[in-house]
Amino acid sequence: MVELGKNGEHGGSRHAVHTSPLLDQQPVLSLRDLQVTFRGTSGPVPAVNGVTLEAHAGQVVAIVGESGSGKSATALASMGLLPDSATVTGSVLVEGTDLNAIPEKQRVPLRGSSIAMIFQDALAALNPYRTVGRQIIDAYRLHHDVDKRTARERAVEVLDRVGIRDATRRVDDYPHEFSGGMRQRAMIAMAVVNDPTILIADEPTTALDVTVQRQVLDLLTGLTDDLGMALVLITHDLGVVAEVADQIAVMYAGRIVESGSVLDIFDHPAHPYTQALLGATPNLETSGRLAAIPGVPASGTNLPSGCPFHPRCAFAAEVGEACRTKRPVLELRPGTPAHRAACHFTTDRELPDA
Amino acid sequence: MPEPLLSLQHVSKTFRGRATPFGSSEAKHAVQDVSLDIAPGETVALVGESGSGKSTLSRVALRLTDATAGRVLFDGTDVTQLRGRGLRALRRELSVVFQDPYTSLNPRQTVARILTGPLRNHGLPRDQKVLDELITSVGLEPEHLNRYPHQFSGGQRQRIGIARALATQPRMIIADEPVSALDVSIRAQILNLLGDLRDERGLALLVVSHDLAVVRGIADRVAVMQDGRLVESGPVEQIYADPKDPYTRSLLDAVPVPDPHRRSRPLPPTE
Repeated sequence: MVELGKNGEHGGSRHAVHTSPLLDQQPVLSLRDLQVTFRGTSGPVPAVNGVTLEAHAGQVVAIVGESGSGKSATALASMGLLPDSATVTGSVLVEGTDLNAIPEKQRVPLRGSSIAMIFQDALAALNPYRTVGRQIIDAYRLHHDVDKRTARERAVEVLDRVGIRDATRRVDDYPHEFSGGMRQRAMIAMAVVNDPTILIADEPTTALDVTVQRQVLDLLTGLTDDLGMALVLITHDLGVVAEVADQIAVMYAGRIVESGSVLDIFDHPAHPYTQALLGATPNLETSGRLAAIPGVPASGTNLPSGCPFHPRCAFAAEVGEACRTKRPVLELRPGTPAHRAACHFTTDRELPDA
Repeated sequence: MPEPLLSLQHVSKTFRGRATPFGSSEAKHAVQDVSLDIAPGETVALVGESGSGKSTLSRVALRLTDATAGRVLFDGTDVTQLRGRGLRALRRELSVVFQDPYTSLNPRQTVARILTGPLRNHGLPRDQKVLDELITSVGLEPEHLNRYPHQFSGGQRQRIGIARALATQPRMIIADEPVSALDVSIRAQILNLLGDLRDERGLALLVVSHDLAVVRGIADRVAVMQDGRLVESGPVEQIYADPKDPYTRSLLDAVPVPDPHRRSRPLPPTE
């Protein structure tokens, strides 16, 4: 196993993503030194390697990363949904209860009511043989001892809230009778019907057209504000992140390499990977070549020594050996309340402008 | 205006309804009376949301499906009815790069064999030197020729797909969502590679995409489709700065802007 536990020494609340004085209450979700290791055919594969982050009520926390970064494994571990082939260590505190320390039987009542999740592919997440309403009613009655009629009224109410027009009638439709955007809304309705404290959204808009994406993002942030949920948004799209996130954790090869507020990350990126991702993100205004990042993303099966980003990093040559041999730890940026980066180059300086 | 290399003239494509156990489905007018010219060396982005007909139009241009009405001219020749030798000649001049680098390469063939396929089909020389040149032109190494697709990352596979498209030295490539299955850091690599190859070889490119931001940097002209119709086309600068069609504007407005200072949601409190 690779460097298990090392990040844990620096974990705990000091590494909280958010420490705004306006949000001095306890975080509703707190991951502490989360490690996920999969059993692979040629030995254990580390997918998540010491992730510590917090989400407060009413906050949008974005976990940004590419394939192999561990962002989805982090999400599934937070829900306790990983298969038995995965070993999870560290803690997943959901409103103070460590999901990772309790048996599955005790997790079930928390899922849906405390922590819920939506996925990229709504068609795969909905049962094609059951009406949308029936699925929402079932989800509601799992947590509420009410008769079917009351549950149905609740289903219509929540479908209406997520923007399904004519919800009284559409509640009896099957998923295939909904458009892609409506299915995404129906899945969101099913996830929020029990008023969860935390909603984890794994690439919720990636498969949608841009105009529908905009509507779904507005819906998710609206629900976050109205219901006071914490929204943990897993995405690879920095455009989406800039539009909705309050706090951001950038993941690379199973680790958080930079975290901070949305302005910390976009205005003063302190990790070369973050800066390079921003440069590689297409936008509507710049013509000509994009600044590509050379090489391929690292992952648990292809984990470079030292800093996992060093083979692709423009600054590694300047630093020299440390980047190849010593793993940088996530450290607080001087003069900031909660901006952290794990980089040898920026330990004592800023990144030059890209 | 130079003679167009590819000229789509009043192209329509209707998919007939099907009889199913639950009744027959309606005919789908996927493309309706679309005309579009692409000059030699020009890059046109064909943009639209799902169901807009952009992929169907590109498949008509490639003769992967036949138009219901209208004509497709390539280099002045009507290719709509081509068969046999004539169709083969078109395939040599007009190549395609597909969206999904995971399903568009035969998993049982080595890269060398994948690249040799089109060369053999067209009776072109296929010695080691040709293959070495092809593979290095897309930023891979000759040693990669003996490997299988599963041994490559998504971005590398898309490079192999591009090398295959280049094998016959075409004058034009149609790329259907060439980067939408790729990671952000890899997208820029592939877009830059396509741009470089176009510049070096004077290729014409038709890039089909749902993402207006992605094609901004590579296109000379942009054509916007909605519900099977071409709603607007024009030079890239004009489309992005001053779109005439309300649908184009709504598409542009919906693209997330990677700048938190311009968002509508309030920023988190700073301390």
